[in-house]
This record gives sequence, C-alpha cells and structure tokens, in this order.
Amino acid sequence: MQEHRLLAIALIWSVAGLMILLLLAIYAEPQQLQIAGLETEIGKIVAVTAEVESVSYKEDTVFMTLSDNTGKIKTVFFGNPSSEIIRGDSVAVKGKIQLYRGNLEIVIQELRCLSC
Amino acid sequence: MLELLAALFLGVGAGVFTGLAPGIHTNTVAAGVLAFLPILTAWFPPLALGVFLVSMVVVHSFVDFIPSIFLGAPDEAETALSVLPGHRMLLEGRGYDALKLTVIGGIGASLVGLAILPLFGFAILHGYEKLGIIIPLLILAFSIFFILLEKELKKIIWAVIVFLLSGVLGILALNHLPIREPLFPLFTGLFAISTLIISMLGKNKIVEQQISGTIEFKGHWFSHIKSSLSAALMSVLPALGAAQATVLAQAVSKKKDSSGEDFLVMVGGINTVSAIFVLATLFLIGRARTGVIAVMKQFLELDLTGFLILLVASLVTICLAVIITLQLGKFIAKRITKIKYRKITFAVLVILIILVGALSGLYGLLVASTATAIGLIAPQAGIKRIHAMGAMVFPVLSYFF
Repeated sequence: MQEHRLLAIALIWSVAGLMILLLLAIYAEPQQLQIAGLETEIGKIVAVTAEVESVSYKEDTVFMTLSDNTGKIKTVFFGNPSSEIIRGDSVAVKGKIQLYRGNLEIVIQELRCLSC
Repeated sequence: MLELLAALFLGVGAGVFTGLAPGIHTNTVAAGVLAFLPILTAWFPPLALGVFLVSMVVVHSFVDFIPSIFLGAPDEAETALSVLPGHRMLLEGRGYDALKLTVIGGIGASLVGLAILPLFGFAILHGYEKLGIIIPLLILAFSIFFILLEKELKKIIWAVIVFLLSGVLGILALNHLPIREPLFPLFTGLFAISTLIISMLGKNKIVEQQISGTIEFKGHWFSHIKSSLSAALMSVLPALGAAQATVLAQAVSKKKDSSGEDFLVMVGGINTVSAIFVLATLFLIGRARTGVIAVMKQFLELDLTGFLILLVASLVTICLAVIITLQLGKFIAKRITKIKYRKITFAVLVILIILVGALSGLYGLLVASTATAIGLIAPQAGIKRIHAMGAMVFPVLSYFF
C-alpha cells in the first residue's frame, strides 16, 4: 500500500516538476553577458550580443569568432542560419559556454542576425 | 616522473573521497579540475593531470561499492545496480563478501580487458567510422531492448514512462535551462537522493557482519569475459555506459543467478574495465564517452606514449585500489552495527541538497527534485533504474536528429 502511494506521489511530482521546468525553459531568458564575463560561466547557458569578426561555413556547421568591446570568443553553430552571416554583422546568440582544447567557446543553440 | 607519481597518489586520494562520499561523482572533481585549470597547469603538466583523473576514476570504481553495499547509497547508475544483491547480502551478514565479489570482478575484468584491448583497438579503428549514421539507431535499439527485458507488460509500460520522463528532464536540464553543472543535480536526483530516501523509509536492521574467506577468485572467468565484452561495446556508444553494459552482460547469461553473486562480479568488473576502454576510445578515435574523459580531452593531446603512461597508471592504481577497498570494507563491516545508519543517510541527504544548491543554484534544486521523483519510480514499480538513463540518451539523440 505504502509502495503504491509513494509511486503515485513520485509520478505526480515528476510530471509537475517537468511542467514547471518546461515553463522556466520557455520564459526564463539566460543572462545577457559581455564576452569578458564568460570565463566564470563554463557549463551555463548564456546570451551574448556581439559583432562577427570572422565566419566560416563547413557542411552544416558555422564557425564564428565574435567580439565586443570586452574581448572575443569562438563559437560553433550546428545547423544553417536563417540568413547568411558575414564579417561585420551584429548577432545575438544563446548557447552553452564550454572549454574546447583549453579555450572558451560558445556552442550556439539560438542564432539571430541583428543586422542582416 | 615525480609529478606523475604525486598526481597518481593525489588521484588515489580523490578516488577514495568520491567513492566513499555518496553523491560525489568523479565528474564533480573533474569539473573542479576544469574550473581551476589555469592554476593547476602552472603546477602540473597536462599528462600529470591526466594521471590524476585516471587514478581517481579507477579507485572510485572500486571504493564506490562500499557505500552502495553498506549504505545502500550509490551515486550513479552503475553502482545503483549493485544495491539490490549487495544490500541483500549485507542483511544476511555477508556485506564484506559482496564487496569482495565486486573487487574480484574488477581484477578479473581488467585482466581480460587488457588481453582484448588490441582486438578492441583494431575493431574501433576500422569499424567506428562505418558505424557513423547508425550510432543513434543503435543507442535507440539498445534502449528499447533494455525496456523489453522487463518482460511483463505492466513493467514495460513503467519502463517507458521512466525513460520518457527522464529523457524530457535531460533535454531541459542539458539543453535549455541556464544551469551550471547540470549533470550534477540530474544524476544526484535520479540515482543518489532517490536511493537514500528509499533507504531511509526501509525498516531493515543491519546484522553483525562476518569477515570470512569464503569467496574465491577462481570460477568467475566467464563473468569476466562477459563484463569486458559488454563494457567494450558500451564504451564506444555515447549515452550508454557501465549500467547498460551490466544489464547486457546479464541478459546474455543463460544460468539463473539467484544468489546475485555473478551479478556483483560483473558489475564490479564492468565499472573498472570501462575506465580502460573509454581511455582507449579517446586515444584511438578522439571521442570522450564519460564526463572525466571529456574534461581530459580539453587539456590533453593523447599520443601513444601518453596513452601507455595512463594505462600503466591505471594498472598500478588497480593494485592500490584492491588493497584500499578491502581494508576499508573490512573496517566498516566490523563497525556497521554501531553506525547510526539512518542518521548518516539523513546527513548525506542534507549534504547533497546543499551541494546541489551551491553548485547549480535554484534551477539545479528544481532539476534535482524532479529527478528524485523520477528516480523513485523505478524501484517502486519494480523495474531497473537504467531506464532513467533516458536523461542522457535523449540529449545525445537530439544532437544526431
């Protein structure tokens, strides 16, 4: 009896928890940061608005170096952006900060070109 | 050379700590290494940091069974599997024997693993690229296979529910929520906090433990071979690991293992030999299959000399881990009846919640809370906990599709 009650509580708790997290994922915007402040954010999802310093396309992957007035960072985006991004464009990206071969990079989840 | 030795002993110490502290995973320490990388690289060369991580993982793979068996408090999917037969033997006064079986498994599977390492290397070098596109299909096929192993329809339905719920949670935590160290609250909730809650709700009385010499090393060779082969296979596929390898090895066992002894040998073996295979996978195809290896990949370019040094370090560490685990296990087994079991469990639970809050913040606590609820479903529904690995399988599949 106790097992069934615990099972029911766990199931309701799981579904309710997932719904709350889903709402948070939809409505909670990641912190908008400058590039210099990203060093302490490894593993976190952040938002950055910056200028494209260099860009290269390889199959379905876009590699960009972004810069703002505090520094620069490499990024990778797996997919095709809605419009072609070129050097000098201003972009807003949302993605996860990680270290790749000892250097910081943003693995972009959402990419928006502000000047295209 | 001195730096490598120092790193090895520091790794052994860290492995004992992560192994004994329920809920503290080697990935947590590896994340710490990553955070302090600029300072650490000023003191240690990258290879020494690699030795540190490898030694820690190997020792952890042995020592981790002490809290699993004696406290019923695993901190990850792999050792969570050992709770049932290990805890059952503890209640019969044979907790130390259960621990010895996992150690025997660790030694035996490592020996077999080393013997088949060249074959593994050849297969992965010539076969991995050909696998390419079918990798996500293989992961999906294995996940479905593990669900179908539940056999009864009611259990299959529960397994699907756990797989889907954990999968959605994994996607939200890893891909969409702004959480620092999302794996920590995810796995702490799914496998550690949920087990501790069940452990606290139980009314089992721990009996006086026998320290006997009845468990023999010989007679387990078939289990060692099964452990090594299934660990080798799972080391190649992302999102699948030691827990899945254990269920796979069990599934190919024809003999009914009513005592659970073969199971403990296999789970002990797979846990250790996986550490060797994931290292080989990194060296041969440059793929990281565990959190620790992913960290290592970020600062270490692994060449043949480096790989061999890490392999030798892991072998030396296995010898040290065997001695440490048996001595620690004996020490705890002799005193287990005096240990305030429920109080320790409660204290560990509180520490874990504080750690989740400190490391991952409010979002982390919400993820851990939901993960705990999902982690509670499997044991209450009488199904295997590995279905909760949907939390890793879904994000990996989302990367492919």
